[in-house]
Amino acid sequence: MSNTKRSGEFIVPGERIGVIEEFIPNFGTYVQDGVIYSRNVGYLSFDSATRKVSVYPVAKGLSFPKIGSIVVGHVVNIQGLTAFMRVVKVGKKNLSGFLTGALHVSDIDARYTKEVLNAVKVGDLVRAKVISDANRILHLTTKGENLGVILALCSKCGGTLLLKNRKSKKLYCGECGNFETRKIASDYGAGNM
Amino acid sequence: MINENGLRVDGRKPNELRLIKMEVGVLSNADGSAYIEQGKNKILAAVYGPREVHPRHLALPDRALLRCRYHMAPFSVEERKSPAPSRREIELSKVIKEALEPAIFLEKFPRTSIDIFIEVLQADGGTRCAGTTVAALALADAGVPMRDLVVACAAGKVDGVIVLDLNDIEDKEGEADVPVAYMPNLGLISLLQMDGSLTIEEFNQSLNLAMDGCKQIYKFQKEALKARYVTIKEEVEECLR
Repeated sequence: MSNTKRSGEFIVPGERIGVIEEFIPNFGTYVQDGVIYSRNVGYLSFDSATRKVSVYPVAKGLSFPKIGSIVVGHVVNIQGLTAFMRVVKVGKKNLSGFLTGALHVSDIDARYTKEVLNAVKVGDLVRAKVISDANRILHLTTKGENLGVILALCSKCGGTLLLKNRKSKKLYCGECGNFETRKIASDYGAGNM
Repeated sequence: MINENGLRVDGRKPNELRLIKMEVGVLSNADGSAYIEQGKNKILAAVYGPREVHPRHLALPDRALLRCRYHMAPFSVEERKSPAPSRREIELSKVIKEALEPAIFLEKFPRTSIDIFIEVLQADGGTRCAGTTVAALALADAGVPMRDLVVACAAGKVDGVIVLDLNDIEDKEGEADVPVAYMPNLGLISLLQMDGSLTIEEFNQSLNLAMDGCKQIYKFQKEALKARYVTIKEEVEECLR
């Protein structure tokens, strides 16, 4: 081949890397008519043991959630057994826009949750994990210690709900003293997005 | 329009491009951005997304919606241009969108939109081509997976001579103009327009010249991306040290 590329070389989308007879195309590449091309801006990597070829992206990275991504969003709507979240952060990156995700009651807590409203309410800031993109809808879960509500407001007066103590996991309103229940994350109120 | 030495109004040879300067990652709030100066053209491009489509009914169930807004600033031309999108700007938004569409893996992001904003700060002919070139850079900067970069360039006929990369005067006074958007690695043309009249032979000549121009501009595109990311890598290494 005339234009042989080396590992670690800077590469832009569309550059020809090789043919499928030579390498196994891995992430950052695509195949068309038996030819492997790059689809990212990044550095080329050849794995001589497995013959895998990939392109490590150098761009800021696309903030599009994958299964397993940790996302942060507001609850915007609760319909029956599902809470809908406006996802504004994926991983460490703030989105320029937002995406909508669905959180079903059965995925809120490892324990049984009878009503969505016992665990999350509209306006809550929630950290969740993506479990599926079936039907091209982001399905979320808050099962797990570090997942759940990270900031909530009182449903009576709108004051910030405070944590009584970390063990009891009970929330009360700093303004009116109203007690509420939520599925909270272990760092509730710490201000970590 | 062509002097006795065979040089054009701005002193270029018929097959010579204007001076090109490109920069990637110029806007902090966009997901991806780029800037180009091609002769007296000055164009900014910003890319946002993939993000949720609004209004929602425009969302496509199987792929991302690509939206493009080509806009000329009121001060970009000699006579003040109304900031409202004109018939011409609406058409250019559409053709630039269609020129970029085949290069992007839209099917990876169903029910979302990728929005491109092209703002012409100063215009001097060939802005649809420069706009396409800079939008492709902004897309690559945003990390959108692409089949190839898209690069565009025009050729045309001025005073009976086939010339490359027409400027405003040549575009208006010349006989014909053929803008071409091209994916250089795949060898595919994604935009081909013509105004004026050319013989078949002249047309073929213009098309080949425009594609040659595209290949030259492609090198600048690659350099611009490299300049952006190689410096980032160095900065990161600097911080780690």
